[in-house]
Amino acid sequence: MKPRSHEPIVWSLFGAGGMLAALVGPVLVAIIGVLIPLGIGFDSEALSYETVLGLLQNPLIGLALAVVISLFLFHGAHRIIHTLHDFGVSASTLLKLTGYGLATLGSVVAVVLALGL
Amino acid sequence: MNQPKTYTRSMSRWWLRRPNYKWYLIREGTSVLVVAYALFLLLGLSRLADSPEAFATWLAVLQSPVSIALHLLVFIAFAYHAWTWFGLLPQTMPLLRFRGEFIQNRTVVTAAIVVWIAVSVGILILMMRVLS
Repeated sequence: MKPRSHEPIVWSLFGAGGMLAALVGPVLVAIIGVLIPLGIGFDSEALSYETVLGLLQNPLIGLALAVVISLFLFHGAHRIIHTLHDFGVSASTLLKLTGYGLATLGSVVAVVLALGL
Repeated sequence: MNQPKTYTRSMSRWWLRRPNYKWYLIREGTSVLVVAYALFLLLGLSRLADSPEAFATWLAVLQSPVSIALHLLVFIAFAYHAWTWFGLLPQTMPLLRFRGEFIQNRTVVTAAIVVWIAVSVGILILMMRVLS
């Protein structure tokens, strides 16, 4: 029997990550990285330790952040692995194990940190 | 052994050969910044879990002019990713039907971009309320 491909699983994670990065990525980067530091529409001190900790101690918000981090990592890993092909680096099993392995590791760390706050 | 000398076209700097190759590479390149941003958020989360002082250091980085400039670049990358992602939806999604008629590609893309803008404005308003 032909071994089953893992492609549907990683493509789903790539697709989910790409969709999430497209829908919420630009606005998150704009708010956290540009608008708050410049004090546009927000207090420039809006992200205090107490505020952010209080928000993320809600397990739903904490998990939401972990999901964003995890899916961004899987999206990027998949795209980078397949684009390296165009630079003469084949998408070998070793490269895939490394890429998706690191994305999995980052996801586990994110979930553990978010739920341990 | 006599190897036949077949002509093999060089692949060096292939991305400069056609404008579309360059745009393809820029689109794929956004994923490097998506990963970088995920790691930056993960770093902030770990600093938050560590101590108030550690998180203050991460916040101080966010306030620096270099960080703001880099975040503007990352914002452009995310926005370009989003624009191309929604533009490709007709190719990546199953065909949709409405009352027996296939929905036009243009309609799918326009609807996705409208949803994108609505979600972005919604998150912006929500964050302004929560963080005020």
